[in-house]
Amino acid sequence: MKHFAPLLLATFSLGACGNYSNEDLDFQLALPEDGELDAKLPQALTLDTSSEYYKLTRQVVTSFNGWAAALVGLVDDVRRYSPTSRNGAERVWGPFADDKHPGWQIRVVMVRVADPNAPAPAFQVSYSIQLRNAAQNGSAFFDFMTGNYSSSGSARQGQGEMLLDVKTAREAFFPVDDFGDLERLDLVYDTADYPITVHMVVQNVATAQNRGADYSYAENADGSGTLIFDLTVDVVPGVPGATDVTFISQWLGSGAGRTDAYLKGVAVDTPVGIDCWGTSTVADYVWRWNGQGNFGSADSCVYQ
Amino acid sequence: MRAGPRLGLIATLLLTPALASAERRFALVAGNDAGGSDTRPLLFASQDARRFHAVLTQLGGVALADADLLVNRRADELLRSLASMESRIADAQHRGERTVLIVYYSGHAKDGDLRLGDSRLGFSTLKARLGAAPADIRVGIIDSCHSGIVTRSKGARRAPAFEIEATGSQETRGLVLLSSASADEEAQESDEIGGSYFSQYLVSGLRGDADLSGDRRVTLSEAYAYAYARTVADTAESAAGTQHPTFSFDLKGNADLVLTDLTSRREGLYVPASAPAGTYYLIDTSGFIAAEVVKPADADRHIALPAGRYRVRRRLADRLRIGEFRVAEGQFVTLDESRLRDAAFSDDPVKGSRRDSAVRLSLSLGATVQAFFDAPTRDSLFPPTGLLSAELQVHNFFRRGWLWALDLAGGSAGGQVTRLDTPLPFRFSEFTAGMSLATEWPLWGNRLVPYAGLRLAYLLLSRKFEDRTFPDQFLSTFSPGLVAGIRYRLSDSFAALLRARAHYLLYSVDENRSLGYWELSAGLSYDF
Repeated sequence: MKHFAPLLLATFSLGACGNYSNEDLDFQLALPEDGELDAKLPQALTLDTSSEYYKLTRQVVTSFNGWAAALVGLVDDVRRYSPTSRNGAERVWGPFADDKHPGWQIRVVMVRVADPNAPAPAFQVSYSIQLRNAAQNGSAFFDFMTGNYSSSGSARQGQGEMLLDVKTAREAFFPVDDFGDLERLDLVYDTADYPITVHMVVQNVATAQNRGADYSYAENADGSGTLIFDLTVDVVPGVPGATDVTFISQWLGSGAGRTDAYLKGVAVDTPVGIDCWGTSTVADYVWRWNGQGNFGSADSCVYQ
Repeated sequence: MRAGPRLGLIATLLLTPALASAERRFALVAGNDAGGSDTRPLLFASQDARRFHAVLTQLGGVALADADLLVNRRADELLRSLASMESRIADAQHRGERTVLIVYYSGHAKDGDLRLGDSRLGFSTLKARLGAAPADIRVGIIDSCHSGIVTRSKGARRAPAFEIEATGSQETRGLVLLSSASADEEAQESDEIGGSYFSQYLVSGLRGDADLSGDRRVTLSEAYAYAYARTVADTAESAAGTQHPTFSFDLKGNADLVLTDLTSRREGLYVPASAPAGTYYLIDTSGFIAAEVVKPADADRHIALPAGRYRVRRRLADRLRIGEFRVAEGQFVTLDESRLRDAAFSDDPVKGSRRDSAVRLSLSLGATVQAFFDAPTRDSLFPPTGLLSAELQVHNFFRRGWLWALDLAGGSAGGQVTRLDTPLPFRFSEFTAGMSLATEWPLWGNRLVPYAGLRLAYLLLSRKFEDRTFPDQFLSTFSPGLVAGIRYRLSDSFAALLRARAHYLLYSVDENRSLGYWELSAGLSYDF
């Protein structure tokens, strides 16, 4: 009789298959959605008459959102498809043949991390997108992108990190042309409560003219926000010796805002420019360190 | 009701049988398995009617156009058919044709009435109609309980044989009534032979085994004597007691009535005199015993059979002798003992007939509510669902009193699962296919039939999320369970159905979890 129950279970397991799972939903809810990590400027358009620094901020936001979309897009299929296999706290999608890169395989591994101190609905997960050159015997999977997420109790409200390691993929001869000069992309975000923050560091290869960027974005519940970005630019193309410039853009929910530019120094940063703009994005006040094009009064700025 | 077997005495007739050349024969053959709410359905009455109809149209000189077969029909329909037939008989007589009317009924009888489903037809009414029918010769054959009532009159006999005295030179005219049982006896059916004793032996006799005179024509008296002897013999040791067929006749004329003429049919089985003596069962492809042959030593037998493939079985003390033969059109095939082989009793081909002959089909349509016992499962995984269901029920397929059912159901419901504090509404859908095996316990004359048994179901459960960024999910699995129900008969054909099921389901996607669910159904079933 004691052998009967396992035999019965085995019999009915044989005919069972499917992806009907509530726990899969937890994994899928842990991943950021497209647009969720975007920086949001209130105005949608840039005019010819818009402030110079507003235009720069707009360009940076576009770039920022592009990198965020690239990262989120990599895990998008995980949300749209059910896992291929389940093993306790682990879910695996694939491996699948990479149609775009023949000979390569891709798989996604997500692991639920136990946290005995977390409140009941909290959920911690780490995940990785892994690549493998299937044409090479014995080749192992390596991490192309890794990430982790800690839920604060609600879906997509928590802290997460994502790292795109293009350098390792390039060294393994995985075709990374789509990523240009990118070597590494780090993204840390906190969506648990306002202000929502996203910190992104773009690191390009050493030979690139633009060796990278650092973005810090904060979004408030009223639509106001801040974007701080560093641009590292070689003064002489191809010659290391870059000049680091930091821009701090702030805006209200109405769209009016201000950008301050600083030349980064060893001890202190030196202000080199200020633009303030109204809801039309046209500058009300401009100040440059060399005095060229200055006009207006600083009193008109929404941020003093 | 009919009830089991013993041996009686056979007296044979040695008349000069005659089949008038200008004679036209009419037959009204009725069989009804149902006998109303206070009777248990018969298994073989309709089948008996079909077989008798077949033998009359194949060997009895009855044209198909002149033979009405009424299966599971009501009394008023029988009377309408009889009236129509009487009209045609009258027309034939006006044209100068000599006519014979044969009326056969197999089914329930109780309290002086034939029971045709919920309707009734008095023995006396039928007898009066036969007596007044315009045909020159009228033959009534009643195979039902207490059917001897119909022969209870002056001259009625419970005897192994009767003799028609040749009187003068005029052609035979009058009324003959045969009953399968005496007025105080049950008429019995047999699973073993797949029919009622009397009808089965009557048909076997008419196919040739009753032809004791060897002239390859079976007269009414030969057929009766044969059926009487076999019926008494086989029911002698039955629990219901020995069943004695009866007869009464009021015939005048110069000859016995030839019921079947084997010379008119040129195909069948010839059992040569050299074949071993014994009882041979000839089984058709559907598993029914088409005919029996009681073969004496050193005597041959011609059995008329429709073309087709047959199995033959002869029972010995310790084994069976079985074989197959094929009857071709226009050919009597000779049974070759050397082509039979020994077989164990467990290989008895007649078992098939027992099963097939008991089969009865019904189809039910209904509504089902299903829910899982476990509240968290019900709330977040598989929500309570309404289903539309259809079930094909096969009664008595494996054995009498067993119900074998195949069912399909489908339905959907709205549901919502909350994960990580996020409500995710979805549309749940379910498709099920199941097979049940249950035992039935008929009550109150089969009006109320509780049943209970086992069921194995295949389930396809799926859900679509309103947020289409989530993939559709499904679970396909088998689920064993228990089923119990009640069928309440509303009429001959329709019944109301209430059914409950409890099932086990092994959920194995996230982890192995044993779940259970219940179903309640209400529906309407139709008996074919």
